Amino acid sequence: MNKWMHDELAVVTMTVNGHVYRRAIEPRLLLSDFLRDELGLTGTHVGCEQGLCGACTVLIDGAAARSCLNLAVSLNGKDITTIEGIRKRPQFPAIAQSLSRHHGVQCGFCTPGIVASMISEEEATQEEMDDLLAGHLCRCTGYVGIREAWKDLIQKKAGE
Amino acid sequence: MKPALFDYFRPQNLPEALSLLDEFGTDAKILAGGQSLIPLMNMRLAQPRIIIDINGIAEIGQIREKAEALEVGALVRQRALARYVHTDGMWELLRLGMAHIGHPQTRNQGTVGGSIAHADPSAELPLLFLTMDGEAEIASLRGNRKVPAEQFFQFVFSTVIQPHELLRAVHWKRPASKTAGFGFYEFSRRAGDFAMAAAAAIVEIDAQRRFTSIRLGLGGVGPTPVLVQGGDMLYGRTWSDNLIGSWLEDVTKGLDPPQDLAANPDFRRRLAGAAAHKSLFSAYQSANGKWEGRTHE
Repeated sequence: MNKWMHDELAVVTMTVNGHVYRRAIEPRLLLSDFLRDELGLTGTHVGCEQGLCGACTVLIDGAAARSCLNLAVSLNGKDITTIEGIRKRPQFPAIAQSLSRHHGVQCGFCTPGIVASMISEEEATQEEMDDLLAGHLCRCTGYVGIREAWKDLIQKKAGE
Repeated sequence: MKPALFDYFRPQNLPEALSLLDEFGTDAKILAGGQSLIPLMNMRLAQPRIIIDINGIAEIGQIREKAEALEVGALVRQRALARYVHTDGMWELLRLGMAHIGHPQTRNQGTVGGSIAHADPSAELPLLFLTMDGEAEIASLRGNRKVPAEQFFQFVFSTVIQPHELLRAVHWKRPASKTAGFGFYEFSRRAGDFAMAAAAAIVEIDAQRRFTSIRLGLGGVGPTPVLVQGGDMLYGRTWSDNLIGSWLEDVTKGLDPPQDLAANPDFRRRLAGAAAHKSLFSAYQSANGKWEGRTHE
């Protein structure tokens, strides 16, 4: 059994974007802060820290999840992908182009989280897509552009 | 918004977790999916001195088919259960209701057991657990016990689980009848929010479309989910909006819903009545459809 007292540092090993990192951290450190402050991966944005806004969404073992609602210490051994890793994937250029074409990005604060959700379920139905998109707040675009961009990607994928 | 300091324990198996609870129970919180606990800790509404992280305990992460029930281990993620029951009409109510929990991104991590043990009166899983007559399997070093859903919830965020105990699994009872119909309806301001009022219904009818069984649960209308009594008065009658409406008017008069920013008690009573009506109608329609399907076979 692993145990760390509140004044001790916990040792965690995590694979992030294909690299293995080993760090000594406070047990109370959130994954979002671990990524940003310990690893310098500031593409993961922090909005509400209560799971509502979706800005901090990353992939944990391939599934979209809130990095602000996870203790880093609890993810020892897990595989994390952030927007910095997603942008190296072959699917990324098509996502970026589609968001650009449909004006799905304005200030860009919510975008890394939304892209994580988009890439997490490429086979999503329209209904599932809307359900995933409902898990993100965007205060600029009014969602129409993001939705069109996403729909376009799903349709193109289905046409392949 | 960051959690306060705590001591962190990560047991590898159930006996380890139970010994920790036996030693530290009153000061400890169990971390499963964390989708309710971590926000509370971030806001410092919860400042547990000890966190017992059960995510390393493989034996409580399984779904098992039992003779009369589906046994869902404490660590099974909400999304995993939804996927498991996705194509099975028997578990339609579970599927309908679970679609309203938070968002896919939180359901990927949130656990079935965690939501039920957390006992938020406006959450979907406690309502489904009560309406579907589930059973909680509670473990401790001092012995295991099973508690039916009707005796499980005590107050807002309070259940019969004692500080030294752990919810090991939730048992979902198979519906007795193949022609039972299911309905779920929820009012919330935005998709994914907690319900201002929610209703879950299981309806059985006979060949003449007369009610033979009604089970109706309401959420968001009191300190615990509520199993509505008196549905048996409608047995032998067929659907009519007036009949259901007047019954539900009596039902909602008897509720004592909370006052908060989302709704006042009167508004909540009306929402609960409307949600109940809609869920019962869907359930009746679905039961009716199953009878039709049977005649065509």
